[in-house]
Amino acid sequence: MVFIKPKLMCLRIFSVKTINNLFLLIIPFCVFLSCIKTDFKQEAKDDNQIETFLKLDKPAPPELSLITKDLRRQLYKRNFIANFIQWHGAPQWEKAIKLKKTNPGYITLAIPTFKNDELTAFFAATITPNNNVLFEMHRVSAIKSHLKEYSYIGINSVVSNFYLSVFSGNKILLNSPGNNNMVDPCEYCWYEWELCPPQFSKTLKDTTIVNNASIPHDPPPHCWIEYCDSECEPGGDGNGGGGGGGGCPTCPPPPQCDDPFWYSFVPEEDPCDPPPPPPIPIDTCETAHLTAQKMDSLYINGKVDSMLNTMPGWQSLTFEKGFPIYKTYTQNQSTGAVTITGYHPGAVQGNAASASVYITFTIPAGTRAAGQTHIHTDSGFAAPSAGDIYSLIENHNSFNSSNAALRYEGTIVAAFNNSKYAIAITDPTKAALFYSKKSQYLNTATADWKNNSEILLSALSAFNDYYDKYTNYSDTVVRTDRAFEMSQAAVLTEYNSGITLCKRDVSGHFKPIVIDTRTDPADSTKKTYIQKCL
Amino acid sequence: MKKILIIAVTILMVSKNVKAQTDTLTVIQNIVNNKAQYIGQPFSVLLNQLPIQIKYYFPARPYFRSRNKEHATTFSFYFRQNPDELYKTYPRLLIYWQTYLTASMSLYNQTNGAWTSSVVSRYSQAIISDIMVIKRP
Repeated sequence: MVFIKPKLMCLRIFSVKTINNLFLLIIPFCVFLSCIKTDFKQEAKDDNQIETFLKLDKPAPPELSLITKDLRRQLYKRNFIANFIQWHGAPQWEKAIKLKKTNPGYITLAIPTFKNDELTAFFAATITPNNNVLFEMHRVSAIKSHLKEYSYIGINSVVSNFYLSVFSGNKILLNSPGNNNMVDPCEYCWYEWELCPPQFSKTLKDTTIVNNASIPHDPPPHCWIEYCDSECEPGGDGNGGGGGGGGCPTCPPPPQCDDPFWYSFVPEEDPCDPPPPPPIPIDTCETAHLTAQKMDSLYINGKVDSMLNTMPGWQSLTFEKGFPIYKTYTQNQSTGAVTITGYHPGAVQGNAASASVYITFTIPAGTRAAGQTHIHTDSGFAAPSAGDIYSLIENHNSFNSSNAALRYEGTIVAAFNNSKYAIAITDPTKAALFYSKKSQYLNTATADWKNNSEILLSALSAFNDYYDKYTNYSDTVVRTDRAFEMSQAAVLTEYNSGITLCKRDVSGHFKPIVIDTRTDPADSTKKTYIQKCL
Repeated sequence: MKKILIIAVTILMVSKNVKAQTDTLTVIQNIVNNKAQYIGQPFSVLLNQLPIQIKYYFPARPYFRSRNKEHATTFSFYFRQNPDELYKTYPRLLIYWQTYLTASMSLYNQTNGAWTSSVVSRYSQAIISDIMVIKRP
């Protein structure tokens, strides 16, 4: 008796030629499918970038939402965010202001952009009566260089100069072309927005009216508050045009674009400025190693070992202690040149009343905050927490300076197991964007990543990955601490924090821990963590 | 002909794997969508209603300042044979506990994350406070 396997019987139904033809069809289809998957991944990456770029931490006023909606539409059509950030830095939507002086039926908002914590520009967005949005840029560099730029909206250089000074918090008019006498006083009035206080009433001008405070979020809980830097007659709001508008006599006409209103918004097409400097190729590892060297200096200059020795048994403390590190400097009165004259630690802070310590700085004249050191107890992990990471950015922002020598340098963590870590900002622009997501990412109560946040899920996965790999550690505490430090390093890179984590090795030098998250080209579902910069 | 058969088998396996992942995600998503009926209940209630068998678990990393407390646990429907296969354990269920469990990686280390009767008894009576899905990170 002969048995034929059913599988073979099935194949027998078709001739070999037919099967070959069938596969000729199937294989290209599979290739097509794999291409689609890759495209989806790229799109997902773009989506993430666009949504991060447009993200606001608090409910936006409807005018601002309309603008971000329009911008979102255009960005999905053509993503120019990288170019925009390279030129202008990141927009700070929370600082958007509404201009008082507009044409009837039109609404104009101005949104500042910051690069390395410095105001670079603002872009104006005008909502037309039929809800179209027009954009234009006004750059500090252009105004300082007395360059006139196209103005579709009608904000002349004198007025744009004024708004730049509003955004910089220093309403001193810069030297600029134009005649102040030509400016309507109402141009110097604007509105800033904020979330409505509970007792919100009609007393504030041009506000969203909430009749019943017990319905706090409907309509949106924001209000516009008027500020004026000149005498603006009542009724002046909304009358008349916006003045000259400048033009661009020395520049060629705007290029023909799909959407002409992007002309002055997309720098690569802007003929008014010299071309941007070519991006300097930054070697991530070189930067990371330089940062580690700076942390070596901070550790030594801040006399960290000596200070820890003043706290006998600090490894066994059940609450955190720490101390600030200061640097003293002198400044040449005529040249403005700064010389750092020394470093010194401040007094130890922290007591048993609180499990965590928040280091405060007392800064006399001629002194700056250089960093801080604090202890991590064995009730927590050894490496820096999410709270430490955000605290680092806050310190960087609080003690920022245009002079790099005067800036906050980094935070050092001395852990219960004698491990020493340091975190420092290596890319302030990325750090600023990362900080803008603080409310989404940080659980202030636990000093950890927020429950269910995207970054926590990534951290949990990386932790699981490293824990499983570290089978050579027999001590679970050591194993979890190692997995934790690697997972923190992984998310710092994956989420473009602009921060580098370093760990002191046995030779007494800090070494960067940089983890790349890579997708296996052979299997897009397979994510691997690669440590680099070793 | 032999080559064609190999390609056919490969395609079949890939599509089967994709289908399995899709099915797992559907099951997990369904649980998340109906999480109200499990929140406040012991984990055993959910366990008894699972249409697919848990194969692997991992105690979620404790919160930063409370390393001895297991506030959440992840459950997978695939057992990874080695660390390189960990990516196959997604999507997973992430379950938060109303009262944290005492963190114990020693049990995990003993079973290498396998879903055994001793692991079942550890989690059966834990009360669920929230359920999430962790897709492929």
